[in-house]
Amino acid sequence: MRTRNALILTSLVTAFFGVFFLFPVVMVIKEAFVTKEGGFTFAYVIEVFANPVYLEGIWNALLLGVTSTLASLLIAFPLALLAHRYRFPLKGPLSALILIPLVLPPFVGAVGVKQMLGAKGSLNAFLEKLDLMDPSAPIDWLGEGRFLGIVIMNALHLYPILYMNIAASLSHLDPAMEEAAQNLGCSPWRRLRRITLPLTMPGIFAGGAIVFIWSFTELGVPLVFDYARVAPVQIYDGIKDLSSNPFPYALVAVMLVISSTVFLASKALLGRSRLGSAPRPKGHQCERLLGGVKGFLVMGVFLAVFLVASLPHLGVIFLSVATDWYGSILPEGMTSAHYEEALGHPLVVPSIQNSLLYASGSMIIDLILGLAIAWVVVRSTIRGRAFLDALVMLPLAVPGLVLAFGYLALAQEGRAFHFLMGAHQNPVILLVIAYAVRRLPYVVRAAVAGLQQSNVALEEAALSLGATPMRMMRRIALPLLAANLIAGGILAFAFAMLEVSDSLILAQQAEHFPITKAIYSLLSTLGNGYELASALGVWAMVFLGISIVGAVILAGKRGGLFRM
Amino acid sequence: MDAIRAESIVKDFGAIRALNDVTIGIGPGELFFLLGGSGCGKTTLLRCLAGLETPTSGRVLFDGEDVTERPTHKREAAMVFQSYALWPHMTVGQNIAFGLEERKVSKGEIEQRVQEVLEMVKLVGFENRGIDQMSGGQQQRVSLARALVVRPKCLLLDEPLSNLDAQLRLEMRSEIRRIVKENGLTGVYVTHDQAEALSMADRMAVMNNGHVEQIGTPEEIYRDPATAYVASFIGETNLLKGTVNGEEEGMVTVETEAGEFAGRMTARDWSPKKGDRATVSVRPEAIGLSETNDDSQGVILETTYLGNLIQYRVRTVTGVEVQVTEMNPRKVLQPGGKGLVLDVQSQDVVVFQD
Repeated sequence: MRTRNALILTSLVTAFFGVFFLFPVVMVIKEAFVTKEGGFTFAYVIEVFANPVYLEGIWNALLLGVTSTLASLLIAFPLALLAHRYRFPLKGPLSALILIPLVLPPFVGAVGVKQMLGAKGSLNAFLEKLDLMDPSAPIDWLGEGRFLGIVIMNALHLYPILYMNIAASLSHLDPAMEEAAQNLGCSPWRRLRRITLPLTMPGIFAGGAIVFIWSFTELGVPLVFDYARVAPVQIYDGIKDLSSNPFPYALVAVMLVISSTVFLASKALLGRSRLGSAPRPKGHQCERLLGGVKGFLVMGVFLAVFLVASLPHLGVIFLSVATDWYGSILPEGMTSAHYEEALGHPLVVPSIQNSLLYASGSMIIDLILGLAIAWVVVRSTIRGRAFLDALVMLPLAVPGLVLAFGYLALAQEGRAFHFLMGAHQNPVILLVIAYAVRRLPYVVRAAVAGLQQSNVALEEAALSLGATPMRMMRRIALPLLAANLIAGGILAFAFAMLEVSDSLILAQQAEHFPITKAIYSLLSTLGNGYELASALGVWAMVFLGISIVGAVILAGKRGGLFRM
Repeated sequence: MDAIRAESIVKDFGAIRALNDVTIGIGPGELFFLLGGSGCGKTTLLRCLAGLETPTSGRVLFDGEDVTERPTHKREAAMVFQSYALWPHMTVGQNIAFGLEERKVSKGEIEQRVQEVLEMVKLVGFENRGIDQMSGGQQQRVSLARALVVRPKCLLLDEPLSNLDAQLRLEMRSEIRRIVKENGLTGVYVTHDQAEALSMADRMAVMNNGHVEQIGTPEEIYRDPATAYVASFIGETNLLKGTVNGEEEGMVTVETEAGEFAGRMTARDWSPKKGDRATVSVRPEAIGLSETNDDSQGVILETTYLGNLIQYRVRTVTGVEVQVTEMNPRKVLQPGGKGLVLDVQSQDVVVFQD
């Protein structure tokens, strides 16, 4: 690639990032430190830490982040280790199946959990049936335990990210590393602690940082659980008086500092790992065949994790077809009425159309930008390419909430992005860009991986045979990259469909609602709002299930998409 | 009693039989080689000795004790891996100390023994280096040191030199042999490199297709190959098919398409009779060439000059092509020259039953 073109591409991408990523983020930070009169102040941030309500919100968000990450690790590590060590019946389908919860929208699942664990939920009905509980004094499992409910939802949703990262780390591990320890007298448990675990740390840190930031800033699940004492919800509630209240900005700035610290710390720890130096030899297959009872036990573990993780969404499906489900284990009867009614509801069909439009728009932007960036990073020799690579990874460190908040602030009357929203408050451009910026890292990683795997010589051969650079791209490079690009694109699409914080914050008018905001507002509708929301949620899950299965198949290898 | 004994080992991987009834006995202090082409089962056999694979049937004995079911970490058979398998999250010193820590050796003794072994592999002063700061040859020494420091009953080496460049390989050959011998260790060494095996082994087993073709000293294997496979795998040879004319005091005469040869037979379970099918093996360097003006036995087709030796491709008057090597050549013969006389001593000819 010619240096001039690489430089032009780099400048364009950097400019785009500057305007739509750095600018809003810096703006939010500035608002947190600048008074109405334009002077610099620490007062707002200090007030955040002095105000017991905000302090509790930040503390709870931190606790949610840490416990959700640990809970995900507890699920993901044993699974990844089992899959690494053993072959067992149905291993292939099962290890794909346990990735599916990642695309089940957690805040939709939360609706199902409420249905099952609420005071009049399935669990209580079951306990009453067994005469283990007094019907007149039901336990509200989520009353005091809403925090726990959110942790469970987060963990069940996010463990696949850790699983894929750990599995990738393990697969890069030379089996002889473990055998050597065994050979020198190390028992299997000590080997796990002294060799396997330390060597898997890069995967744990990479996945753990993503999971932490994700659950630290999760907005949808706490909202559905009515858990207001957590910073993201407090920020969301603060939007109403944005122009007069500086505290949401200060809160956002604090969250940004915490999540970027975690991100940088995990990067630094990764940088110190020396795993890169040991190439994996083609050696012996380290998977041991587990037959008989043991094999079925491991199979059962995988199946159980999948079933438990999809239980909330099973609840949603039941709810969407229930005639009446109150105080009973399962719905009283089945009906398709909610689906029919949903299709007639003024929110539902437009929201599906909106989401498809927003998600495909952001996917196209991601694909074009992702390919250009990956090209510069892998194939050019310009100086700034490492910087560019690091720059486009930054959205992983910045919570969606922060960015959405910055966009909203900038879209106010008289601010820089106001013209993008227009007088009709149409958020389509901002939403598409917001979705695109946040998912860009996944597409870039996918394209970079693809370019690194394909040999430059293949492209050079085409050029030497007289193909122009554009023809070479079209006939050689793009076909070779297609699988990676499609996988990255579908993932970007799926996550855009699931997006909560940008959608909730930026879409203000009902006619512009994407699916997620439509579901959220249906949930607060009286009458059969829950059932309608569930029906819409099921539609969303069907879409996502199809796209993720496609992405997994096309990507071929697990883990390539979620690595930092 | 054998220090290490593999008895009737069979190992199946699914439908593939990697080892088919292999029996090997290795004496105390012996440096024993497993030699064979890729896929012959040599590494699988080594891994069975290490306890990294469990044989489908058969027994592994250490000093007469059955260890077939004993897990690797209780076998005291330290292994040097082809990829070295040095842990990148530990320094050189930590890698070496690992096995001693697992054996609960005291801190002071660990320090002392690590120093000793570093001296032995000539890496004193490197203990705080990271693995990625070591060259390939140094990593090789570290992995050797890591295995040696636990003073194992036996040392298992899986193609330890295959990732090194030619020069380093030559140095490490004598280095490894010196260390094994100085420490009185029993060593089992897997390689596909015959020069490595011939130059280092006390005894070796040549393996093919999951079974042992022959066990013997390097000299026995080279001079008295038991099978045509061994003769062609170790060094180069001309194999000529023919039928037996007769036998006298261990010398068999065979009529081949290149003429009649008399040669030694190495298989003990064969009493050749006239008319038996047989194969004759003649090493290229055992054939003498001289020019003649009289009855020619062959002509040169191609000459390859390598300085210390010359390789000739010769066609005999009967139409058979043979390889001839002349060591320390004083004169180079070219194709299209005079006729040749081929001279073969019958003690350099080996005859196998087909």
